[in-house]
Amino acid sequence: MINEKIRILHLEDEESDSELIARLLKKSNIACDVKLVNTRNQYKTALHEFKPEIILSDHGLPAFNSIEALEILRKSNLDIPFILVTGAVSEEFAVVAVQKGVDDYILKDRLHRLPVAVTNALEKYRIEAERKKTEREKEEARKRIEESEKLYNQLVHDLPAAVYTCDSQGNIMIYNKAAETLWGRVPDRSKEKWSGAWKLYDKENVPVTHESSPMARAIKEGIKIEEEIIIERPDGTKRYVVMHPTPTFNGEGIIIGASNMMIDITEIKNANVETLMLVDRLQLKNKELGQFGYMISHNLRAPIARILGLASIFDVDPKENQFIVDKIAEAANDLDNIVRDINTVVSVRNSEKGKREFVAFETQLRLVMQVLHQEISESKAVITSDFRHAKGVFTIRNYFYSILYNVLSNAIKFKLPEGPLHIHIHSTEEKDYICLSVRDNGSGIDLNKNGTKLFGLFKKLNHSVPGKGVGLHLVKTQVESLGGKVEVKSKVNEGSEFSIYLPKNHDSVIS
Amino acid sequence: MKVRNLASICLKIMTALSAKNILLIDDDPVANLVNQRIIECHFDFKTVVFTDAHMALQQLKQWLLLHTMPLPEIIFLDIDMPEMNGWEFLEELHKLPMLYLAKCRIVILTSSIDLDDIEKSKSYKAVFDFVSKPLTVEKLKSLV
Repeated sequence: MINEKIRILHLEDEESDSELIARLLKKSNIACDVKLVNTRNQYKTALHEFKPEIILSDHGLPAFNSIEALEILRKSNLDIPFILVTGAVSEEFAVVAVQKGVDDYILKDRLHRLPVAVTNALEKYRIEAERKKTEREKEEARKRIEESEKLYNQLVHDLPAAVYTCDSQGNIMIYNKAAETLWGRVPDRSKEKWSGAWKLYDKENVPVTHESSPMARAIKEGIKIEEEIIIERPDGTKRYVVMHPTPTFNGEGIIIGASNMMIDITEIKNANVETLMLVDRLQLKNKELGQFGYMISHNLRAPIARILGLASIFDVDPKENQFIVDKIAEAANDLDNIVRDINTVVSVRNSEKGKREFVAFETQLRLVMQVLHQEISESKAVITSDFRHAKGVFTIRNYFYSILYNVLSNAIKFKLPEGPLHIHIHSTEEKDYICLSVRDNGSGIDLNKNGTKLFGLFKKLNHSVPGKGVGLHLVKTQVESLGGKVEVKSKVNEGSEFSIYLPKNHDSVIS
Repeated sequence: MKVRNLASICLKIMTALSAKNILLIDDDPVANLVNQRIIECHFDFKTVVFTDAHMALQQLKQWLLLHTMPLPEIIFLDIDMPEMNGWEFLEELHKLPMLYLAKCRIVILTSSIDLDDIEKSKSYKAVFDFVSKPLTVEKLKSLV
């Protein structure tokens, strides 16, 4: 400011006065460029073109005065000091002048005060301008912060991923709409800490307290965590979620809280489970297909080979011809039976879908015993049952009937020739299954020798007993297609126990 | 039943003593009939039939022990039999001194066309060939 020349607009009609003032300023080392005007028009033009930094004004001018000049200045866009330099004025005028906004007034007989007044006024305006600028900048910054905060809040709130934050004490600070949806509730922030979830479980479905949740550990240990967890909502539905609690540190490296993004992977998980189940089913089908291949190369091939062989020795000895034709017919008949059996097995395998309903054990046993009436009375079998622990199971009725029929008729077929046959059927309830056990005191099975053959299609362990090796294969196929399993305990000449496990609730997958 | 079987075996052995013979081990009488007709009508072989692999094994052991008669030229062995099946028969056979057995050709004769069975049969040293039923004159020619 000192180096640059101050542009002073001087409103004065007395030439001697103006010269005096110019000299005085010069003497005081105030480098300045003074423009002298003495009419309203000159003054207005100068304000516009000269762009003064300060105005010195005499009060009385011909057809113009200082108050008018001040008003013109204040209406302009210049914000500069206005100093009255005048001869003696009345006390009242001085008051009016100050009220109107004159920054200072100097009496011409005390001009020595002028340089200081000029410097002070300029300084005052400079400081004021600075202050206003700072104020303006502050305001702008505040607005920018406000806007960005608004954007940020909107972003967090509308983010499809669930997000919430906690302070270092675990108090829940912010959570978004998606978090609320995921929790299925609005947390009570005055009581709840670490998470807004109703209940938490780990991957193995073991309950997890909020204090040991990933978020709590991230804050307490100051580490970033990525962990799969199950959230249970108040309505009982469960969601698989991957939590990403990330601690926030202040400038001193002290934890001030953490944010946690929760990604809902339930759909992916369910899709995965479905895929795995599909793979399992496909593998099973594939294995069965392999069995079919084996079956065709053995069971179907046998009567064919026999027919071919018999045909090749036809007429070698005409006396044998009738015998040969009979045997060919027999083989053809076998072939037909095998094809029919295959048809039964295939149709069971392909009808996986069916209506599930509550199937009562008592009723089904009665139906099967009616159908097996003749076999039961011929073998003099005594059949007892106990369904106190589980009265039935939710399953497909036809399958269940067929399973019970085959297991029971098998037990009757393989009775010991001596001694009475006793078959006991009872049900038990287990964690995931209802188990139906059929125990007999029949001939039993050497499981070490025949364990793998037992459920195979067309596998006959005992060639002296009629049958085609279809029954137990059907039992296994049907139980497995119901999502269950079959277990066998047996001792030769002591008896067997077939345990059929059927799932309690087939739709227990997370909804 | 067993006594009758033994008697018939003795008879078979007597008849077999004079000529080259073929042993048939198969539980299916129809298969045995077909095989006997094919062999006896077209070749100068006698056939000895066993419907029980276990008994066939006992007989073979006896022949080996007593050297009373020449071992069969060919043994046709079925796979799918009750009690002792073809594979089990082979397992037992492998426990016997191979030197003597090397002279007879063991041929698997089964209705199976399963590749796994063919592969498995190759894993037995004593097995000479694998033939799918029915036995034909052409197949037999290629074996002798």
